[in-house]
Amino acid sequence: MAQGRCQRTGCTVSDSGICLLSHTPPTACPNFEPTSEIPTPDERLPEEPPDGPASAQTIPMARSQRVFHTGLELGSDDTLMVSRASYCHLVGILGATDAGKTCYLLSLYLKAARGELPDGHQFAGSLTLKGFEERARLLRSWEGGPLPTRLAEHTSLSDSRQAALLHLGLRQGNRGRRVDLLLTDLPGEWSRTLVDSAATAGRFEFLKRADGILLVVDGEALTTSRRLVELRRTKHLMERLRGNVGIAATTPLTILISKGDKIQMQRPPAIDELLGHAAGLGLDADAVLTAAFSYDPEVPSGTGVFEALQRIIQSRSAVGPPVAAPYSAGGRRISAFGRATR
Amino acid sequence: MISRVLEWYRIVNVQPTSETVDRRSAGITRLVKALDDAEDWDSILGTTAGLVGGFDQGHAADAPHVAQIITSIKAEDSTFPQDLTENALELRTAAAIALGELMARNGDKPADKIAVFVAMLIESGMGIRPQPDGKHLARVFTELTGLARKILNIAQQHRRKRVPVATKKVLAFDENVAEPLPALKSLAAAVKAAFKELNQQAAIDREELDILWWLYAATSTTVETALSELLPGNAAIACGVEVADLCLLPPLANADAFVRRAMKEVKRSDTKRTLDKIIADTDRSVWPLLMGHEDESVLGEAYPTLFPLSWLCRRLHASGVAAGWTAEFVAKTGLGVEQSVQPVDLAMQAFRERIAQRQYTSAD
Repeated sequence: MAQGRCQRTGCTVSDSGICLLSHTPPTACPNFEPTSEIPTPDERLPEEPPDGPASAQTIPMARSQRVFHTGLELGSDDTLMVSRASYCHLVGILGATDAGKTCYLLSLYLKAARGELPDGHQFAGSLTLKGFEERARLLRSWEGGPLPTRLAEHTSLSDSRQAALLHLGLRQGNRGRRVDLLLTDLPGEWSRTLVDSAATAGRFEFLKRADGILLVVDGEALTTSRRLVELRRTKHLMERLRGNVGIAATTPLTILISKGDKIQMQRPPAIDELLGHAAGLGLDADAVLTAAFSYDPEVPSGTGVFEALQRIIQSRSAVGPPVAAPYSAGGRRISAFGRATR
Repeated sequence: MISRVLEWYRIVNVQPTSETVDRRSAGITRLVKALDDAEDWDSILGTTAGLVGGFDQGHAADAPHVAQIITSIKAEDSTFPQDLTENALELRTAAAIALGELMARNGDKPADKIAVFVAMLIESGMGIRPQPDGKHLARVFTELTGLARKILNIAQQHRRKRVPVATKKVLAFDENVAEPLPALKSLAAAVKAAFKELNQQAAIDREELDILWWLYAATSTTVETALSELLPGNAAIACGVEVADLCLLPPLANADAFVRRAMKEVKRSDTKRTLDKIIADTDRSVWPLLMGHEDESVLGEAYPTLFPLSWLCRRLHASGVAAGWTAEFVAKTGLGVEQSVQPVDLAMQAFRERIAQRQYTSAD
């Protein structure tokens, strides 16, 4: 294909391939100026390196396969695009099937996109915009009236062997602090298999890097006869995370009570049992009641969604006192000076 | 610290492969060697400045210390990006591991001069700086500052150890030896060594006396005013610098107690205020104290993240007024002026910066 440009002002042949003066082909136009020849794929790649073994070590640019990031989700290697440059807060979101994990993610995304996050936080880009939009497809197709019973499709991973991460960038104010969130969207089956078999704990190795974990529990289920099953499952999940996956005791764990609108935003008493169990495992846990998408007109959609993250992305700690050195007199009384006041 | 590559590298890569970890370990080993072999302190200073403040601001991709880190890593991993907008956090992590290795490699033995200087720089840079954002990065810094403290503590104990070996030899000399000439030669050597020991002991004793008399007098010797009559900002800089100048290097582990005791004489020394308000209490009488002498003076100018108060004092001295510096201070040092600190914290910062300045020239 010959490429070129036109010297006539206003002619867009270089972009559109159509001559302003309707010459066919455009190269017939007297104003057309060829610039370069784009070789065909066959012409581009020489079979043998021209100069022997030394140049064989250099792979021509055209020979390497060009892979575009799909924008749907990030694998652990993909996260380097953002995590190599600046700190990313990795948030593990776990819970049973239909607990509300994906709805939580969508609610967070939509609040960010609409500028409804508190404390001046604003949407500041996403490497997985398409992934959020794909997940929100059911919502987008809703045409008003009662909310559909299913707001998000069942999560399935493009690679079932590794976790998928969604990226959400937030900024506090126009020139404020930027926070990059890497949020897991794992199928409920992952949590179930972890509960059923400790052998699958290796899949969750990446959670050792988590800045926080959101354990999504179905708030509605906690007020029904399914309460005991939900409690037992959630406790086992905590035990697996702490004992088999090995998450640190200092990792903030938030029990995210979903579907709060269906329980009149009343915290189920069973949550105290879960918090006690977490404390017994040495975990730093709290609970947040949320309503990602509310069926109750009194409860706004997105209630509690950002609050669940605040402990994880809180600002840096204030300046503290200097680290006290261990006492070592070495036979000199001056070394004891000031010790009593520490 | 190279043993911590897997754990610390997770800051950058949530699930690194063993191959990646091996490559990074090898790259950082190269970096450690390069820092060890450097002919001057610039690499150490630049790398530590990048660690403390981050490489995303105030560092150029072609700066020697940045290029050194990138070259070391690229030697083992050619896919490592060159652009600071793409690799700033990874450079910071590599710097943390490398500098941690330089400090930790001596174990519990007295540290070499590189380790001591790195420890002092970290203390100076992190003094009034809030912990960095992010749980895992903050934990790295907690470990590094703890390691720095440990290194300096071991070094200061070694510096002040009383080991009268040569003195004992002199005292044990037997005047009735059969061969007097060789014995006298041996005695002469022992006497010389004993005098060195005695000088060292005298210096240690003098340090104690000087500090204790300075505390007792409760007067700034540079400003020639009682500490109780100084404004908190002026007192902070004066106390920090004067105590630092009285200390042997490395300073005593409890040297901060001297500064705090002195600051108790100062009115409102424990009242928290924003940094800009405390600095408004400073004037020309104290600014030169932290600007450093001759070779030291370059530190504040070139490495504001490590010597924020030194930079500020130079800036204030150049402009002549204690106003209009905040925006530039924030941009240069990465510190916010709205953070609340006590004047005594500022005094400690002045102390740490002055100690690092003195170590820079004494090591040179």
